[in-house]
Amino acid sequence: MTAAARAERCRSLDERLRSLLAEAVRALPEAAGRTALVAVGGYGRSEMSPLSDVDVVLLHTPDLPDDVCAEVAELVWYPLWDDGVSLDHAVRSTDEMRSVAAADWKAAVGMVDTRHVAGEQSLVRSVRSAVLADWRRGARRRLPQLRAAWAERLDRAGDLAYSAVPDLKDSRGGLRDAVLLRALVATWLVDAPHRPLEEHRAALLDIRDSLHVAAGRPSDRWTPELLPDVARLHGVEPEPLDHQLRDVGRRTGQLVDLTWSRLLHRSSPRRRIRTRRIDRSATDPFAFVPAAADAAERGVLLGPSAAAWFARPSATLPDPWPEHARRDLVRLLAAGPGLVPVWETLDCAGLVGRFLPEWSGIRLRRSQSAVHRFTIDRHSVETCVEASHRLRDVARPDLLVLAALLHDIGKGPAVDGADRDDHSTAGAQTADKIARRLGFDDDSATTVAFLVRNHLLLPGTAVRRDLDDPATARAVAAEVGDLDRLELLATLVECDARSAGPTAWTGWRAGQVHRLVGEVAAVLRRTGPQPTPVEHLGGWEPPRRLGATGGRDGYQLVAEAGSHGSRLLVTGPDRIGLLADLAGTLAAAGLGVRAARAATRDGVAWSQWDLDATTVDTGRLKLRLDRVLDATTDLATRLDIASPPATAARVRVLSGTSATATVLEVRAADQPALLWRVFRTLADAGADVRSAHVDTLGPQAQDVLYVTDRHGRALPQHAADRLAAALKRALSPH
Amino acid sequence: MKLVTAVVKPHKWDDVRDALETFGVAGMTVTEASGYGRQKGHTEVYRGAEYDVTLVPKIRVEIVVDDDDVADVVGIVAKAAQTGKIGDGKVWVQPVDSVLRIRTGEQGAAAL
Repeated sequence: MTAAARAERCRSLDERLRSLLAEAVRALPEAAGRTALVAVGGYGRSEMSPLSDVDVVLLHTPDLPDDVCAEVAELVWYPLWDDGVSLDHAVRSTDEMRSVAAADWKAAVGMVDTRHVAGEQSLVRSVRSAVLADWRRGARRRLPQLRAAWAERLDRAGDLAYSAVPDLKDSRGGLRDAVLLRALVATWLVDAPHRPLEEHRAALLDIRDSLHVAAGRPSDRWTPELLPDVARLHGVEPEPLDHQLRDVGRRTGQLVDLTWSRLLHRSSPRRRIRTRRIDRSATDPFAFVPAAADAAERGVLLGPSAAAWFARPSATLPDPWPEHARRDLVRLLAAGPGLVPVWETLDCAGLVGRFLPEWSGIRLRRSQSAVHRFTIDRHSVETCVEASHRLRDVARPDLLVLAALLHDIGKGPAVDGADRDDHSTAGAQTADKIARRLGFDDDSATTVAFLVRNHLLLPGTAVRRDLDDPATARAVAAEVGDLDRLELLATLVECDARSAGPTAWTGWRAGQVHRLVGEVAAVLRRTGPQPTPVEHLGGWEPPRRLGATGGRDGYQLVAEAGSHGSRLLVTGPDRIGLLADLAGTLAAAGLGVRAARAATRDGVAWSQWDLDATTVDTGRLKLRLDRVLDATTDLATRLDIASPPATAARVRVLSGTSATATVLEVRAADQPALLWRVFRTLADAGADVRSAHVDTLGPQAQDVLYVTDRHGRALPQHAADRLAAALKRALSPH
Repeated sequence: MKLVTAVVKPHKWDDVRDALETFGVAGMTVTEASGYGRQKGHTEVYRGAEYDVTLVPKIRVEIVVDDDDVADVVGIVAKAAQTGKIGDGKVWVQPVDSVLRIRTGEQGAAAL
């Protein structure tokens, strides 16, 4: 099953074809010098497997009479059929060859690898150079077609590296992709690293040959049943062979992705997206995290050269991670579909192994369960992608995406194939350690471990226990503990099932799980612990003596610079609409807000703003604020047009949280001017903000607002509902 | 030969399978099914949205057995699936003309 064996097969067939054409020309002398046999496709590339079809074209000059062509063809094809060769044949004049390639890009791609076998060599040379010239000339026009067909093939055939049952030929990173790369390089619009490409292709061909022999037919489906036989033919164990194949597929797939990306940028310069410039003098070992998050959020590839630079030997990562790195990691995990290629690049460059060594246990590892469509590592990443669509459903989206990434981390070799619950228990311990290493606090790490340990609890109970028995919901409620955890667990379960495959989240199963969750939620609402009011959580109390930092007559701005952000403190006389003006001033100045706390005491408003910018010019900011306060700057015109809401927000009235204020919770995609919109809507409704608690978790903003009427009382229920509806309207696309 | 089809509550499926395996039933086809009988289904509320669940989730089990085993298999399924409450399910039996094991070509009882 080696390149030498393939070459020998082709050489032997070449000889047979040469002798057959020579005999035909002896019988029909007018064909001499006017015919040639051309190998195309896999035979053209000299990579025939033991059971491959043989693609041969009888090429002739346009003036050769049809009856002579037909006779030559019969004299060549029939003996081959008698030999049992599986022949895919065609008879074409040199002009036809060129027009077929011009009309059909698939034929053109096949002709990139034409090879002269027998007969008049100059015919083949001239056709080949004409077809290649046409290919280069029409490449820009054909690229969209080619790319659409490539995308359609990948949709159908999946990914050689990650699909549960990939196709060695058609899947991403498979043999057809290697051929496509050659065709793309032949356009002269782009180049690809030839040596690794040829090495990957040769490795794939070796395995493909063994697969054909083991299957007894030219099937390219990499089915688990055949793996032991193929491994035996290769003299290796099944698992290492599976890993090797997937790794080769992954690297070939990356080359194709990158080549397409370069081609698209070249043919359409306006598609270029300017990413944050990498500061190559920086020594921050976490520099790769924000770069990866930026790339994933924008849906662009992280270039291998950048990844290689990030992966150079550098200082070891501190344990625990600093806050800024953790925030960026959450942003990366919650970025959506852009995470998939970026994570692959980070992993291929060795960066994932550096910050998450536990990943090696699940990397490119096949799942033992037939419902899974992906390997365990890709399934985990896809679960993050699913979670990115459901951030609004949970109070802690950062924990949701981390648990999504780690929920199967226990499926390493040690417990693979063991009882299903084992991987949850082992994974929970690992996830707890990882969460602490990444800088999450004790409560958060414990919650992540809980989610990993119990990610099978809801589906297992929903289909195996009697849901009509109230004891079932009570038992699950006792295990879960509170509503926030239930919300997280239910969302994780759905994301896990949806990413596993269509059979894992059928309407039947979803109905069972939803029913159980509803009943457990009802139990927890009756008997579970009441959430601690955010106002009482501590850690944000305003200074007791406000007069020392601000006054009743003017606004004082004080900034504290940090290495990864800054903190701005604002004090001054309170009035309805002040927070809207402050948030709008910051948004208009281009200052992103990560977190904010605001409160009022004795008529003095105090607010603290954690900003992305490392330095803040408070003098200029004060001037901007003054212009907003005296209505010289119209924030509504500037901010409404500049950044309209892109996705719908979720707004809830948290009933029963406070007796003296109405508590509103806002969950929305983080974007410029979001806070200004929130506070302006409250001000327009005449609501006074007693305190505000604003956080950003990954790409989601979470705000809890304690509001009162002008007399300092909680709003009546109908007014609270109206205010929540107004906020939802203001924060959703118009 | 007969085809025994049982529709049981999902949470009783493990009990039914254990009982059948203990008896010696070698294989069966299991489907996640939905339907309703005399209980006519019910309505559920999930995350504030009410949705109609007139179809109650069930597990459908199909087993082809030799004529001599039919009564035992029906009895085993009924006993294992019974809770005594509404919605326990049904078991029914149909005649089977022939069975062929695709891999070996065996036919009739040998293919069971």
